[in-house]
Amino acid sequence: MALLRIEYTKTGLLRYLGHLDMVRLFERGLRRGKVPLLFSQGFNPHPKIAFAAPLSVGYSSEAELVEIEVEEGCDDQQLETVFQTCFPAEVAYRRHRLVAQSKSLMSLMRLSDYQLTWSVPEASCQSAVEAIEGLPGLVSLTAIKKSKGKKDKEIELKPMVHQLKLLEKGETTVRKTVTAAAAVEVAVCELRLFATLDAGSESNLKPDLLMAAIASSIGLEGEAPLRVHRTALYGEGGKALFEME
Amino acid sequence: MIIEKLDAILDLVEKPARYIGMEMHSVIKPDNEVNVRFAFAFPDTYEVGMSHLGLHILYQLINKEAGLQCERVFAPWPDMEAVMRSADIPLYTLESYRPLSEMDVVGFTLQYELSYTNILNMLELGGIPVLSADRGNHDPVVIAGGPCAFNPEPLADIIDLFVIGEGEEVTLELLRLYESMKPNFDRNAFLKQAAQIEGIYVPSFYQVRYNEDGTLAAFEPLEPGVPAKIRKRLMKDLNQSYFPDKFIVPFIDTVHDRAMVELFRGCTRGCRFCQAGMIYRPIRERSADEVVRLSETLLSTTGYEELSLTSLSTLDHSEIRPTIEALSKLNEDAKIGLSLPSLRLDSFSVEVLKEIQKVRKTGLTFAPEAGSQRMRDIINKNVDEQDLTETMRQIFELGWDKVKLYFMIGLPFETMEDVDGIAGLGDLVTYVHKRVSSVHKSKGLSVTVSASCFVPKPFTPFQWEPQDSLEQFKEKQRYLKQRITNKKIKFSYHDAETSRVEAVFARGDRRISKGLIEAWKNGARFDGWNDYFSYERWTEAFEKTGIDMDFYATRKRSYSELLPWDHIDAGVDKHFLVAENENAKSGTTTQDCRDGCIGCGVNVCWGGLC
Repeated sequence: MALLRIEYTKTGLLRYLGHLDMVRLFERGLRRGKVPLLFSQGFNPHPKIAFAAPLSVGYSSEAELVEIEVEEGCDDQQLETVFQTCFPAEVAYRRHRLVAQSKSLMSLMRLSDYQLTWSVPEASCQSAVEAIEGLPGLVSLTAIKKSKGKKDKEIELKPMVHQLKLLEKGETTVRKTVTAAAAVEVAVCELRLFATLDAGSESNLKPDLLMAAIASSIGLEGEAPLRVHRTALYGEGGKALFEME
Repeated sequence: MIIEKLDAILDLVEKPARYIGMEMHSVIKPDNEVNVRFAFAFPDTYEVGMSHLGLHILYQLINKEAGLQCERVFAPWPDMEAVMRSADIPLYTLESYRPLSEMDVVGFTLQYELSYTNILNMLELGGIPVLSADRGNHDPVVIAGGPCAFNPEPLADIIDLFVIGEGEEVTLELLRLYESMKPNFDRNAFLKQAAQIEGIYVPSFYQVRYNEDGTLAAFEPLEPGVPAKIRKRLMKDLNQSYFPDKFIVPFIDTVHDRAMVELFRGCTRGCRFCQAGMIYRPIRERSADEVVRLSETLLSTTGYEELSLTSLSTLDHSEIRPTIEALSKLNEDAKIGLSLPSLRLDSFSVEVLKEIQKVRKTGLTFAPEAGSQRMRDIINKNVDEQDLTETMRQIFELGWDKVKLYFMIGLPFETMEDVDGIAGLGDLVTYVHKRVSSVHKSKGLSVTVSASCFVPKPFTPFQWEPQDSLEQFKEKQRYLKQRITNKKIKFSYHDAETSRVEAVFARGDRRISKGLIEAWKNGARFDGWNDYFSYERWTEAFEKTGIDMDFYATRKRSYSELLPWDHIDAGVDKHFLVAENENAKSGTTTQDCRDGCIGCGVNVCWGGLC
């Protein structure tokens, strides 16, 4: 048995694939590529494919990680070619390495970096910028977390935010904002941000929830679409997850 | 550009990956290599449409032809429709992201009558006039095919031309004709030429006259040179005809998310309610070698982990045993699952199940179709209680414990005693389970008895018979609900109202398109989905347009009546259908035509095909 750890991207419209879609895409792509997969035992054998952290539908990424169990002696030099011929271009190979049987990626993961593009209505732009810049000085930032079948829960976000930085404030443009009911023209400014947030099975903060909390703290009205792009995954002590054993 | 607009709206809808295309083995040709753009339009969701074998066959077939591009379009779910309308995005294809209005030909597949409103909706969302008469030289030609095209009349005002029968050859002939006439395209000239191709029906070249009682008086060609009768197309030899070596592999889970190889077309059983069993005659098998070869190729190009052998009655294939043996061997190492869509009630089915389901015991589905022997003889379902008892005993001994039994209520000549037999068979199954003693027997047992409402279909021996009224259906459902008290049996039934609307369209004529358009204008779409079907909307629409639903659904026709689909030649003789209806009345069964020709007429049409 050998364990392949692969870093890959998820971009373009394929950011709309859900986690289960990605599981299917990997199994079928690797089968097409004749990668000698190992299967679970039991009634319903599955290939052993484990992702570091499911990416929300709609988020893109340039640094996703997956581990797959393959037969010992598998020619891993062919992997890049397998991706080029058997995977869509939007799920692209970046690098890989053979790892010793280690803890699961999911249990090793602690943090993620994100690039965020937040389109804020002109009227709220200044206060949004102030809220972002004032975040380090805040004692507390809370949000209501809704989960299916459970009571809404108030959670404290502050300790989960390691960094939230305004990179650039774009020009104000008039844009069509679409909802199911109507399309309205609004003046928006685009805020480009960089964030490092808790991610993984121990503690996890989705950028959506953070920005929604900031929006509600400044009483932002109207739609403020958020585009999320993940750029890096880290383990304990901020060490690159790809490198960890 | 539509693709840029999509980027801004897909966050707003559920299952956005339905609308993006880009799957493995989808085909996108550079613009300068495309002479004719054809959109394969499936009037239901992506998940349903991508499970349809015909789509995969035609898609790859057309795309391997130089100069032709086949694209795909599905019905957007109402949430997506709302967003598209507000963002001003026309319905687009998943290959070139062009609006439907920029296609040369748009081809709908007609699998189910209750998807007709989606056709109107897709045309309108795609920027194409809904009525054929309103389309000009710059609009796409709108065509349709598939099983429901055997009665094309309800869509005669909407569809420019119908393809009757199997589409592999005729679609290419049609697209090549379009290609040759594309410079300075003239619709009327094209339709005239197309009407000369065997299997093509252009409804606007015919007129219908009616009697005072509303029945058809005459059906006449208006144009010189168009055929009085349109004969279906079929592929004579499956081993020689095209089958794709790759399928588009969807990203999202679809209804049938697996590789499919078609074992044969047609069915020899002759069940009298079954339209597919009549219109796809004669039987044409693909050889075992060819099936195994295609399976290997498809699994390797798609990466699928499951393979399905499809047909109307898979275990009837004359080389089924060696086929399954070869595939099981092939699949053991690669961990490929094999699935068979239809199981018979006999010991051979059990043997095959043992072979393909060595470990996993999924639920099993069987279709006795009717509850009493009298009724099964009427419909020519040659299965008896002994078969059911034996099959159940064997599967319980092997450890299966989930069984689903399919029945129909409202079959012609049915009495309450026959309905009662449905409950009786449910009880019998639980009794058989009780008596089985085997080390593998599972303690639990779950039996689902499912009863759908019978819809009489054209080209079947029951095409003259009345459908049950809503009241009759409901009384039978009520009866069964009360009668089935056994805790191990779950009783489920289909909505009678849906089947009634389906029946109106199944045997409808040209006049009912007014009701269709009215219902669509009032919001009807996805009528096959319970959440969206509204019976009131349909009754109002039919009332407003002066259409009597009973005239189409519950009226008994005489053998001499001119039927709306009599100008279509499905190969099966009307005399044969009459004789079979008479056999039904007397409860006389007819043999499987593998055991000797029963003279349905197909063999005469195509000179000794079977």
